[in-house]
Amino acid sequence: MRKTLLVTFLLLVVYSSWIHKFGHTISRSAQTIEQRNIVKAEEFLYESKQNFDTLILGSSLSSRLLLDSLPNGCRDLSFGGLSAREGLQLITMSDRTPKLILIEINTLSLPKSDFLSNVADGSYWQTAKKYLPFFRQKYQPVGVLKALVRDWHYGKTRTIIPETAFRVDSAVRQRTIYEFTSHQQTQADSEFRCIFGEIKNQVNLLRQRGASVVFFEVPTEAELQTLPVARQIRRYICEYFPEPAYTHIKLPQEPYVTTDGIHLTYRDSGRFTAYLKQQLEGSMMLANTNR
Amino acid sequence: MLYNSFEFIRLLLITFCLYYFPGVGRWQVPLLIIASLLFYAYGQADLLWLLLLSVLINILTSYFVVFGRQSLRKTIAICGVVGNLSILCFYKYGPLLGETFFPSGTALGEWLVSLPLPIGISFFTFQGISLIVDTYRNREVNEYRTLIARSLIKHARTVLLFKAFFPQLIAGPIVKAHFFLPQISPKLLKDVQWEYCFRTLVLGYFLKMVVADNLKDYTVLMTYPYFETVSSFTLIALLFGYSMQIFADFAGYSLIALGLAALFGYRFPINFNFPYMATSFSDFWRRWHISLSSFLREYLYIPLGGNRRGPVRTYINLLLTMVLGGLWHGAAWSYAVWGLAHGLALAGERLVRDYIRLPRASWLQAVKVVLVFGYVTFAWLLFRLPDFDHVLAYGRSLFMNSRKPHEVLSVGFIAVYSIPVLAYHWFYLLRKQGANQQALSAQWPHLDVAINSFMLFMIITNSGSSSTFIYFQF
Repeated sequence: MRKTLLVTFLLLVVYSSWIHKFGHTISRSAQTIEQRNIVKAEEFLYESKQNFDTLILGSSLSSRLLLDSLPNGCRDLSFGGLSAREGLQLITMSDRTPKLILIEINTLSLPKSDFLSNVADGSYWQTAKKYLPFFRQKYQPVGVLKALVRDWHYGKTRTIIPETAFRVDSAVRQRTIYEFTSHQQTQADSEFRCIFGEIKNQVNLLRQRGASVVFFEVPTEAELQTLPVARQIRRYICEYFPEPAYTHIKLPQEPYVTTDGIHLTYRDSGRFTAYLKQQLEGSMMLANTNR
Repeated sequence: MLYNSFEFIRLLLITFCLYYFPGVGRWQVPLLIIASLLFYAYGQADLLWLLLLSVLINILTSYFVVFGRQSLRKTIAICGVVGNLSILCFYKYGPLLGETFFPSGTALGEWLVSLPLPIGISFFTFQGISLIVDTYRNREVNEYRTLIARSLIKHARTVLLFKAFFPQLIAGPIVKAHFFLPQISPKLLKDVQWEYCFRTLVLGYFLKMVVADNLKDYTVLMTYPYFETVSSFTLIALLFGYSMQIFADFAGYSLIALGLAALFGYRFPINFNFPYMATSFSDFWRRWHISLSSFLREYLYIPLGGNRRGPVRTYINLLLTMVLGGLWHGAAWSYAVWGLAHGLALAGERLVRDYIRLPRASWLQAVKVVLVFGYVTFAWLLFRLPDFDHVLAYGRSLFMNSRKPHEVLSVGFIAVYSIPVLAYHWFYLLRKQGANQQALSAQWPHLDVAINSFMLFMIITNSGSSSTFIYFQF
């Protein structure tokens, strides 16, 4: 037993040294969507060397935006299956404030997940993760191995776009539309007031810390954009964050194509990113952040 | 409370330190009882009374089976078993009966459906039955009688520990009374078998936290409607992955339970013995969840008549035992179908064995292992998808989805995380070929240390997101 403990300790020391020396070269080591969320959050919290001027908060809808097309210093803090609320909570918990925060409004009605409690619960576990990187999800050996094999196979600099970003699955698309449109109810106003009250507090806190906040909506299938709950979210955004005190980027008028009813295709993600950039430039936000 | 949560580790450390504190000897049992009740209450405080009620039934019935009036002993034992089963049936199968027999909207139906499922009810109920039946059967055996204390308070303490001992409270192994009761005695720190505890806990936590918890993130694709979007090959890989996951989850849990119990000086019987190397279905059930299958055999199959009443009755007994065993796992008809599938396999196997004598060639043994594994793996689908329509849809997708895209990454990770389970079973082959532990150690003197260190390293660095054990729901 003693030998085993000693060898394990040595393995951890060797692995820590390896992470210290080569850890910065590891990217996209997450193995699942949930883990990708945790890695993003942990990177934001613990990798203080990373700089950013703009943060995008949202769900998997926003994570398809092509960050390369946006100015340097733009960082994606959107979480698959969740909403911008988790991202907002993460920023308010940390002591880092970007100059510009883009908040995707599509999924704001989703219930808040407790996944952040695994990442940043303020306990000694969080402290351990801060100083001992091998506890972080990003450095799980199997994920690191995956990242190394992928980099070796495809080359380090190449961006790999998942096949699903190109493939339009009509059957899935139709079913998604059907499932969403068959639930036409709105959510209770009391619930919405609670959600938007919390968002408002967080947004105000970030504005006090010097951040600018912009709300935007990612286009989906036309049928889904007119759902009662989508209209309800827009109404609440206008009520709690009225223009011109807050900046809103309106949905583009042109139709967009999705792979599965809700996520844009790779091509249309590019189109929407360009639109977003143009709108931001128009509202002089980027000019301010680049100063 | 999960075995890998900080809350549990805290409870374990405090209990362990107090347990072996000098002079605590006679308080060891009460201390374990308090820790066990805290452990249970942490997850379901509002249903702690149900556990205590179940314990009370068992305390009284087992006591009066031995010390009660001679003429009433059988009646008392029957009442005890019925009492245990009533609690189980009401809480576990109430919702299923409500759904099946009462139309939605009726007050009774809705009330039944809303009943909570007490954690570990199937396990502690079966242990209670074991206590009553063992006590009744051995009521005249002096050795056993001495285990039932004359003082009701002392007996209550023993039964409470037997039923609520936290390592096995929630998901077994189902420990029989005649196995556990003789072990209740003062324990000393110097008698703790550290090496055994350490190895068992490391292997158990590795199987649970590294293998099962990671695999579960990929096998989530087996749920509706995700499985309709992936290729047939991916669906087969997912089934294989789930088979590995459920083994790692439950065998891991059982090993942790064994290791924890050993820390407090108690031994549990092993619950898994390389089940995926089984060469027949009866062999599989001698290796998988051994404590449940031996319980079903001892307390259900044999009392029903076993194989002593002719072939037809034997087949019926097999089917009945397995269907009830299936329903024990969960309150859904798919579990009954799962049990029936295994019952049919056991009955079919017996029929073939009665009429055909197969040679014992090693290639044939290998074919049998593959066939049994394949059948068992497909049957797990009924576990993963309790909605029977989804099971049929999955089966359909297996044939129809050949042109859908492969989930290459998921399949790759399933393969990687399945390696430890395959290696574990490969060890069985080595052992079977005569390469025993000593011979292996002589050949590779540091193999043990290397394997255990690797597992511990992976537990620290590569654990999946924590989740409850699959068997907690039973």
